[in-house]
This record gives sequence, structure tokens and C-alpha cells, in this order.
Amino acid sequence: MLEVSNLSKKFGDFQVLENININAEKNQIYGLVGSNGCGKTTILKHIMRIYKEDEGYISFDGEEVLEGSEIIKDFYYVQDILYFPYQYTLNKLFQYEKLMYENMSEEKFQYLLKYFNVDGNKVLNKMSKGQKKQAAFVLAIAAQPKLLLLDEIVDGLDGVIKRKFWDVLLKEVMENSMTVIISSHDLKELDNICDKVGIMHEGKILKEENLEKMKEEIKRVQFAVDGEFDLGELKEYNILKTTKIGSVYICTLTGNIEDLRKYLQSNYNLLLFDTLSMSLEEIFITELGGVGYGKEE
Amino acid sequence: MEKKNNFMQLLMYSIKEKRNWALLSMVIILVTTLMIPYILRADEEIFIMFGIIELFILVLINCLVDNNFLHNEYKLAYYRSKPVTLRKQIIINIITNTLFTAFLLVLIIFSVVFHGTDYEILDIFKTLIPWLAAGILLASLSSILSGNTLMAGAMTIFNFCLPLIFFLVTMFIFSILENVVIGFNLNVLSDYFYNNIYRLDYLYFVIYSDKSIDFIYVLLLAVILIFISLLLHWCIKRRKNENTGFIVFDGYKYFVAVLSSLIIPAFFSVSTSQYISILSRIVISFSLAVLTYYIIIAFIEKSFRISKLSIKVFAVSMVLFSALTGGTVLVANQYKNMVPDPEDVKIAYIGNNSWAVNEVTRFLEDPSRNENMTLNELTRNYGIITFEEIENIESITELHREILNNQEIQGGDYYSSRCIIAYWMEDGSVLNRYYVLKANDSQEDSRAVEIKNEIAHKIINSSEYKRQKYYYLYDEEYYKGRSLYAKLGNNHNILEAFESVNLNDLRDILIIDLDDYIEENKDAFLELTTWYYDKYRGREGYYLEIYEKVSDKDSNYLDELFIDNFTNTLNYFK
Repeated sequence: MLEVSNLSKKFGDFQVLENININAEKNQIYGLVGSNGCGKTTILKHIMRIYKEDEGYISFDGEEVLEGSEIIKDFYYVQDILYFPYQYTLNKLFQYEKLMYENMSEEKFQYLLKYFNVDGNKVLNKMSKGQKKQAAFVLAIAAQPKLLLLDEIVDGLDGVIKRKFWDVLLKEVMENSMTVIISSHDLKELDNICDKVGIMHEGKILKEENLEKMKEEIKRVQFAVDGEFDLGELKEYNILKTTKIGSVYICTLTGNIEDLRKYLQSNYNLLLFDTLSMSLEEIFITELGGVGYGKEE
Repeated sequence: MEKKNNFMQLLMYSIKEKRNWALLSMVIILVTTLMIPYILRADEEIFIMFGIIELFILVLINCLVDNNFLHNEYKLAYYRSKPVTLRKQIIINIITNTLFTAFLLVLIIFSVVFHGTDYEILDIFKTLIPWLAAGILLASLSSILSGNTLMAGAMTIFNFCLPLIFFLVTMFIFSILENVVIGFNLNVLSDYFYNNIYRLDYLYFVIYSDKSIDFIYVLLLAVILIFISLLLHWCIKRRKNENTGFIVFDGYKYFVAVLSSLIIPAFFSVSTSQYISILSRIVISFSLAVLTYYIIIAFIEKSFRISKLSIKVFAVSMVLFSALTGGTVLVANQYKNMVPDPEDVKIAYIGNNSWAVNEVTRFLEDPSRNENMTLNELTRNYGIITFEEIENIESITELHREILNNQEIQGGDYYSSRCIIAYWMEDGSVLNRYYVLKANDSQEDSRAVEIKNEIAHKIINSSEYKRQKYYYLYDEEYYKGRSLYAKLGNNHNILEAFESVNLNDLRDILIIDLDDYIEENKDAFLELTTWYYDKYRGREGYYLEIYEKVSDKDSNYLDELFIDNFTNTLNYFK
């Protein structure tokens, strides 16, 4: 289990991270989502000890993660903008990384090369952006880490390759008790595979929750009543956002839906009442809207 | 589960990866130091020296290239995300580059052997090896401190020159001291500082180019390398990887900016020492420091707007520098009027030759430096006059007090207006003062000038003075058994030819004339302090060239005596 507690960091006078808390379990894919520049990559770099925190604590399986600690040998980080050593092919890079990752599997590497149809003898820096992402992913999976950090890994990939990525990742998580942290802007993609999500904004985690639970907490209903209706009556149901289209109200809320239905039925002539499912993207927009993001004039 | 230690495997991998650089460097070194001089049949020593310069450049480039992963955000993230600590990565680079450097050194030795060049050229290795060893560590340290490879290269050179920069800053302080406290001189102070306290020749190992390796060499090299390694270790632990740019550590950024801001004013102050007033010197130096600091900070921070913190750091640094300078001035002030008790003085010197003082000091510190030579022989060889007789030492202290009281002299040029008084004390210490005297250009001598001349007159009429100044006449020990000759000349009439005469025939009457001349000398102070007094006075007419015949063919020139007023001597020639 990865635990990030009260992580804070300043770059000069700028507070990049403030009291970040993350809890990612084994066999779990954790989605780190947030507005641009909110500090997702900075968190990942702290976990990898590339950056040192001003305050806070990072542990994995109960052991503090420090530079040079044994546990960090089981971490693998794929950054958003990839770097490969000059003139290296994937095969050569595999041999180099094999010196550092003791679980690096030749068998898995060869299998994934075929699966993704990547040329192991092609110079990495001459590959396309998508091919580079695949090459980096192949190495990451072949290293069989306990903690895999993927920063914008599917950015710029086509749908087929994305599906392949998720298939491999899900299989690895299930079979090898891996913990995966994915930071991404592609919320639709994460919606399908994440177990848990941390929503970030301006260096803070606004909400961290199991995705299913989050969807249960934030709901959306559409209803219509006969006659005049005042939204102010629904305060106790924690309405986050309301839109009116014709005579139909669409409300996002965290209160109890059944109680709302009963209230409307007892006080109005309820013409329509439906519960709508919320996507991660909608939850994200709702949460960030709550702190004013995207609502600037 | 025990994790494997991959250090050796990574080191071997790093060494293997160096093969292309090694091949390229080998070709460069061999073509320059072996092939070209062989084909041209040229002086191979020049090419060997050129090869050594190439070696420095190649090693610096390699060190910077290997550590440049620290200077790119994505490259850094890739390498730092691997399960190898930064310390290990740096150590691997240092070992790889040390082996690479050793390989290049072997190639140069091979070229020397191939050409059959004088092996003495390899003496330079005694200086070269510490420079390279420290350079490799400093390149790593500078790469850690910098967030940009070009800056890392510049900082490697800056860090390498730090002892020199500190010396320059000290000279800057001395140059201010020189203007404020009478008797203190930049050259004298910096010579003393360099020779007794801050041994740059040891720090840079240049002293070993003509000296064999000793325990101090090994110890000093070990201390320097350990010191840089500890700094490296400390900086690795504290590096802020997020600060990519010019310089990663804020403290180091200001350290570089403040020191650099002192370099230009220091150069200015030291090179214009004695020519401009203290006020002008301080105003110009401060303006130069502000300007240099601003340019460096603007360059490092990539902004024309200077932060409040930068201004504070500069202000504090200038206050500290001023306090240090002020402190030095205060300390020096306590000693400015100090004239020793003649009883405590072993040897005294008065003149305008600071180099003479250094020679005597070196001799007294280590007489074995000048094999089988007495102090008397040394001073005679170098034309230095020192005084050991108590009467003369008393006169010099008396003259010293008079100079402290009043610095006026009659006439004099730049050099003759400089007066150095040195005392080598019985307890082994040295007291050295340097005075800039003021020329009185009026026709009449002031009382202050007269007093100086009166005291100096006593000294120049002493047998100790004459024995040293005109040793070929007055020093019996020297005179005995030598073939000394005198040849008359006339710089008014170069066609007037004279035969050389044996000094034996001339000695007695020459001594009488010389005694009279010294007795009647009105410029005794200038005669005493200015070694080229006769030439300075522009004396013309008849002169005697004194020389020693070493063999039938060879002779040693000893002196040139102007004898236009030497009636007895001139009569002898008539």
C-alpha cells in the first residue's frame, strides 16, 4: 500500500503541493486527476524521490520511502515526456535497465514486444510518440514493479493501443499484486479502469475516494413538476449544480435521492423523476466547479 | 529478500559505454602528439604540451557530458527514477572519467617515450595529476551545483580558481590598506601573505614542478580530494532537482555573484594601486562591484528585475567586506608607528628594493637554499646592503622614526621616493615597512630633509656600508687573492681610449677619493636608499669600470664608479 501523508512542497515562494494525502492499495489502480498545473507530476516525482518534500511522509507497505531505500527498487516511473538515452534501441535499453531492476523479465519483454508489435532494434529517439509510449510501457511492465507510476501514459495513443494498454495493465494488477498510480487528463479512459480516484486542484487533493463510492455520493437527477417551483426549498439535499431545460430541472447533488423524490411527490404534482449516471469527467467538473475552477467570468 | 548490489555491473557498463570517446580521444592525442611532430620532425615538446591542453579539454567535456543528466528535467527524471542513488551515479561517473583520464595520460607518456623526449617534461605530471584529479571531482561538484551544463563548465573553472580569487580579494583589501595606513604596502603584504600564510604554490602544486614528491604532496592532495568529496557528498544530499536553470543552490548562486562582483573591483584596485586616491578608489570599486553583481544576478536569474533578497545579500556582503577591510585597517593601525628596539634587531635594511628583502628573508629562513653561500656573499651578489652593527641599526631606527614623523625628501623619482625598511629580529620575526615619500621640489632643503640626510650621512660613512657598497675596495676578505682591474672611461668622449689598470695600483688613492666623496655627499639619504643613485643623478664624465679577471678570456663586471670629481684618481691616469 502506498501512503502519502501531509505532503507539502514549495518551489521558491510558490506552494506547489499542500497537505497531500494519498492512499493507494495493492491490486488497485489509482487515478490522479486534476486541473492543468495542479501538481500531479510533482507528486509522482516526490514518490520516486526525484524531489524532496518540505513536509510530509511517503511510505510503501509500511516502510518509509527514502532515496536509496530498498523498497524504491520495486518502483517504476514512466514520465509524461519520455526520455531515452541517446542512440539506444529498446533491446539495448532493456539490457541496461536489467542491471538495475532485478525482476526484469526477458520473457515478458519479448511477449510484450510482439503484443504491441514494437521493433526492439529501432533507435528509440527515431520512433513516433505513440511507439515511444508503447516502448516505455513495455519496459515498465517487464520490470514487474510493485508500484507503477504512469504519467499521461495514454496521451496521444489510438483507441486500439489504449485498449491493449489497459488489458495488459489490468492483467498485471490482478496477477502480480501491483499498485498503479495513473495521472491523466483523459478522464473517460480512467473512468473505465480506476478503482480509486484523487481529484486535485491547485496543489491540493479535493477529494479522494473509491470511484464507485464517489459515483454513489454524487448523483444527478432530472425532474419536472406541475406549477411554480422554488429551488431554494431543496437546500437540505446539497444541490451542487442545477440546470433548467424547459420545465425540466437537472440537479447534481450529494443528498439522498429517495428523500428528494418523496419530498417532491408530497408537495408537488411530480411529472418526471429520473436518476442519471455520472461519469468521472462530470464528477471532476462538478468538484472543480465547487472551488470556482472553470467558472471564471 | 536480499537485493543484489548492481554497482560493479553499472560501473562496467559505464566503462564500456566510454569506448567511443576513448577511441576518438586516442586518435586526437596520438595524431597531435605523435604523428604530426614525427612527420614534421618538429619540436615534440610543444606538441606534448599541446596534447596536455587537449587532455584537459577532453576530460572536462567528458565529465560535463556524463553529468549532464542533472541539467535536463526529463533526463534527470529518467535517471533519478532508476533504483540507483545519485551518489552512486556520480561515483560511477567519477571512476569512469578517472580511468579515461589515466588512459589519456598513458597515451601522452607513450608519445614522450616514442619521441625520446627529455623525460623531464614528465615532471609536469606532478602538477598535472592533482589538477586533473581535483578537476574531475570539481566538474561533478559543479554539475551538482548547477542546473545547466554550460554553467557547470563555467563553475568548474570558477571553483578551480577559488583559491586564486580569495587571494585577489585579499590583495583588494591590502590595496585599500596601503592607502590608509602609512608603512603598509600591497606588494610587501601580498608577498608576505603568499610566502608565509597562503601558499598558493602548494595549493596548486606548482612548487612540485621542480621539486620531488614528498609527504606534504601526498597529504595535501589527499586533503584536497577528501575535502571536495565531502562537499560533493553534502551537495548531493541537498540538491533541489526542481531548480533546473543556471544554479541549483541559492546559497551558491549568491556566493558566486558576490565573489565575482569583487573580482573586477579587485583587479581595478590592485592594478591602480598607489596611482589614485583612496576616495576615488572606493567610489569606483563600489560602482564596479554593484554593476558586476547586477549583471551576474540578472544572468543567473534570467531577469532584469533584481529581487529584494539579492539586494539584501549584496548589502550584507558589502557590509561584511567593509568590516573585514576596516578590521584589517584597525589592526594595521596599531602597528604603523612601531619601530623596534635596536637591541632586538639582528639585521636591518633600508632601500627601495622589496625583492632584496624577500631574498634575505628566504636566506635566513632556509640558508641551505643557497648552497655554501654566506649572507654576505648573497647580499654582495644581489647588490643588497644590510646592517648588523648596532650603531647603524640605531641610525636606521632613528631614520625610521623621522620618516614616520615626516615623509619629505629632496627630489627623487618614482622608485627613489619608495623607501623600504626591514628588520630581521633576534626572535626570527621580520618587520617590514614600505613608505611612499613626498618630494620637496623647492631649491632649499627643509629641516625634515636635512635631518634625514644627517642620519643617512652617518650610515653611508660607516665602514659596514662601504664594505658592502664598494666591497672590491673596502672588503679585505673579498679583495685578497683576486685579480681586480679598473678601466677608465669617459661618456663625454667615447673615443678617448684607456688601458685597464690593476686595482692594486689604484686602490689607495681611489679609497681616499671615495672617502672624500662620501663625506661630502649632500644627498646622503638618496645615496643610502637608491641603489642606482649615481645613474639617477645623471653623473657624467669620467668613470671607472671595475671588473675581475677570472681567466685570460673571461672577466666579471663588478661596478661602474663615476669619478669626475676624484682628483687623485684622475691625476693617476694623467
